[in-house]
Amino acid sequence: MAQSPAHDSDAILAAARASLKDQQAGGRRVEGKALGKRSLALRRAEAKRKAMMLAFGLVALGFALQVASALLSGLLDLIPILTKGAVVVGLVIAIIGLMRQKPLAVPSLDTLRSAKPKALVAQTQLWLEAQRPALPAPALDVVGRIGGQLDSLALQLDRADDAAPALAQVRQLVGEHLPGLITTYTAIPPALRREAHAGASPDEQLTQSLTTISAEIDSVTRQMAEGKLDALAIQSRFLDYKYGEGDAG
Amino acid sequence: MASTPTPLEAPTITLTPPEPVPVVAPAQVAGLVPLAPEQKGKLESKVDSFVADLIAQDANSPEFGKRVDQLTTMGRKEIAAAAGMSNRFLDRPVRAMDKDQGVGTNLIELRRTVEALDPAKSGKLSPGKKLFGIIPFGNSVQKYFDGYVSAQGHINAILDKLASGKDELLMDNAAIDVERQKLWEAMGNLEQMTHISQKLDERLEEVSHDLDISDPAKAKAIRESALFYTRQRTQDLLTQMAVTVQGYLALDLVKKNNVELVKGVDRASTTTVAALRTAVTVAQALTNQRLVLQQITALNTTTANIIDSTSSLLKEQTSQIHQQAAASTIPVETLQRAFQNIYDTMDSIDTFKIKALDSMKQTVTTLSAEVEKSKGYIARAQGGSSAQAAPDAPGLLSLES
Repeated sequence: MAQSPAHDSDAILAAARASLKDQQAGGRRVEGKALGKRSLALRRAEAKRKAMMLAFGLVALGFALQVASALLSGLLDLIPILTKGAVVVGLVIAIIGLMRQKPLAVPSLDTLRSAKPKALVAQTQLWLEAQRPALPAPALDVVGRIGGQLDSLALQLDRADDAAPALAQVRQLVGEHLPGLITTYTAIPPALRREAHAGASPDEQLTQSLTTISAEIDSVTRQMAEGKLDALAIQSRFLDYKYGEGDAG
Repeated sequence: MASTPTPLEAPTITLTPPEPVPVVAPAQVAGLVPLAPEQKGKLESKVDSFVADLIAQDANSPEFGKRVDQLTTMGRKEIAAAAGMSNRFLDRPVRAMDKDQGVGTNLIELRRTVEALDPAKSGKLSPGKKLFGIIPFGNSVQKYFDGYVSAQGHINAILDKLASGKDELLMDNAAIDVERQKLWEAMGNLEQMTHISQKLDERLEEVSHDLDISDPAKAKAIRESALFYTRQRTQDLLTQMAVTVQGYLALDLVKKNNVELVKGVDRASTTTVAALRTAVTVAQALTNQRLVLQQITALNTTTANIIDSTSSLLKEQTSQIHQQAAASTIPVETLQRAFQNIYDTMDSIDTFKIKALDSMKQTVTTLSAEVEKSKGYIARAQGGSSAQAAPDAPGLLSLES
């Protein structure tokens, strides 16, 4: 140990910089953040639903109390006081109940497997969000990238024909292979995840495989966009034939 | 054309049916798509580094096996891409034949309508009587030209259909152009992979020769696994290349066929419109009354715009028709010649279509047989895909890196 730590200053500084960047981006506390636009939309829909439920509950409560006080009015002077108390208690119970509810049910593996390709992307994003705490840092980067890629894939899926052959590919890739890979990884005891096994550590293997999946999602997205690219090229060629300078040959 | 003795005779139209596409053997296709020297240099350096990396490994190690796995899947993406395209373009010639049928039906209908108007069929228009300057069978001539007025809507509709049929043919050709462009790129990629696999073959052969004395076990391993798979892959790549080249040529055949057919449709429309114009002029000369074919007059302008290549011909003819019909003593013959032009055009389209259909059918048969043959190879390529994802040397034998 002749080397003083000062020899590693570059490495230390680089690590510090990376750590700072990581922390500024939310660090490991990113569970609450949406991975992509689709899962964000699902969360917003859920929040809206809850707000609606709260509003509806309050209206119903107020109505019930109105009816009750109308029926019992004149019987006791205590009624108005009881009514006010009931309103306050009801409000508190409703708010606590809604707050204690889980943010949004995380889809199970079976849900992912049987989901329709067009709804699949949002579900997978939600599922991935729930898996983030269990993943190593380098894999998290790739997962973040996959989240963005899934968004652009979803745009293509929205416009795709239901019978398009790429849909089956997407279902398998996003609904089976990706969750399957992460489930297999999380089944490994955390202590063993850094140890080399069959040539590489599980952490490395996971990151590598996620990169492969990310590349495949990209290629499927390209493949699906190709039809539209072709259509435009054909259209402009046709216009050139029909109205352009060149002859029909 | 103005100086020809019979100015109304449109230049004879020749529609050349394209030749059927011959069978392309895998041995012929290597080097068909030229590679730039610097491209070759880049590919060869890739091969060299792969071979150097391979012989650095122990012949029994899993690392060696991983690199051999790369060889079995070499060019998988390129083959799959080209195969996907050839499956798509297989139905092109068939669809083209269907489209021909659509245009053909319209042409037959046009012919039937035109034949009903043919002055040769109604023998009442004898030019001799006109010499006296009176109209001897005024009523019958009138009746004959009335036929035009009632037929014009029908003819107009047919010409419209022909014009939209022509648009379809042009659209088809635009699609073929794009497809051919993409096929050309796919062929370029296949060519590069073939170059890699052929160079690998050479280099592995050399290396195993050198190792024969120093490390015979490794030399044997290289020959039995690496070299074996490389040769198999070369065969796969060349087979796919042959099919792709054949498809490329077949697309060209369909395109040429469409171009000829477009010419035919153009000419059929032009000659028909010319005949109708002639009829208008002749009617005036014979009956001294204006035959008003409103729909056809409207069509004249549009047709002239649609048929750019023949509009000048049409314009020239119009002035000639006027001169001839007004000056000549035989206006009915002028009209008959105009009809003859329509028939000639349609006959040449018919002859063309028979020959083109033959070429097309022959091409489809060859192409289907070749695609079928190559499917066996493609299946092998797909089967090998399970061995992919060798994480250590990504892109070593792929084109993008």
